[in-house]
Amino acid sequence: MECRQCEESLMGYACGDLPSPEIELHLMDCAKCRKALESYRAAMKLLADEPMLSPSKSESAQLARALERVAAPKVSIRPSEVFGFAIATALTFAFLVIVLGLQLLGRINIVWMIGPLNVPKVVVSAVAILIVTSFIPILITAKKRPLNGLTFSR
Amino acid sequence: MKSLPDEELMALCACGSRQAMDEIVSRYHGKLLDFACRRLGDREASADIAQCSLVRAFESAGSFRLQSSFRTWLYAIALNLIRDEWRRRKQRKESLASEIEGVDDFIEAQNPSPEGSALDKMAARELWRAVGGLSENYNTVLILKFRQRLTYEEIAEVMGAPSGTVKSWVHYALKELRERLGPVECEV
Repeated sequence: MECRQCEESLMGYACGDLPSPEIELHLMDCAKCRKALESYRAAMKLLADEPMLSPSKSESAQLARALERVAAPKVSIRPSEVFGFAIATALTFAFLVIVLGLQLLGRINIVWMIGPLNVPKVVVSAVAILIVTSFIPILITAKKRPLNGLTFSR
Repeated sequence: MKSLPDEELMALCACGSRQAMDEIVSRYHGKLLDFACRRLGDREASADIAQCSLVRAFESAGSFRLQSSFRTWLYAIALNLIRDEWRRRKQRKESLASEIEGVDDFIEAQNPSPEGSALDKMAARELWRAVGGLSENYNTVLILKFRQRLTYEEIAEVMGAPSGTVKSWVHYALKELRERLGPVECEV
């Protein structure tokens, strides 16, 4: 084996690849290639032996503060959600005002009862409206916020 | 917590476990800082990158797949941030020479070990100056391989390149490093 061929394999050998018998034989005879191998190993050792950096106290504290924000439960309400809830509440309130107004004017009689539970119709209607209108904020926010809002592409 | 593998810790992080986050931080904060510093030679920017990498990882904990390697995922995040910073610097037309000098100054500041001989310090200084002068891929593979002790397969995953290519990058990087160092390496 010639030095040129040996040098091609030396880096792999230095990095821990299994040496071929030819390389080992050549290294036994060739001081130049042995020196080259040593220099690769020395460079790798220097790269690896430098002490690993440690974060300073202020860097650790800064990271801890950032992580507090990540770990905190996300209960923030967006303006669109507030708007949706406001609409739902306003619609329900308006419905109740209209029904009570009509009752006061004598156009309807809210003491009508439903079924065996004797629940006034106005209460049933108010609850139904409340449920339906409560979906408005959910619909608004579902369009804008993905289920898993944290996506990362590699 | 200390005995749990990274991937299980991440599953706990996804459930909001602060203890699991702290354990991941204790394992990787210094490593990420070192990785970024060796690439950029700028402690402040590197601290930001290390912090941002961990925060992004925790924010994305819910989308992390358990069958993936957390380590390569985290280093991929950090490498993307380093590349962004590198591009920003290029746009600001900071010369390569100043970046190399930055690494050089950084080594000087980070290598106060009294037990290290002057020769060792000089060799380390020369070595890191030479590493700083390598191309981006060569520089990155050397740091990931020898500083962070990632396998070829892990480096390939981090860099999005075939492992055979990574292996040849490591070999060429070492060869170029040796050529750049000249006779100095024999004294190490």
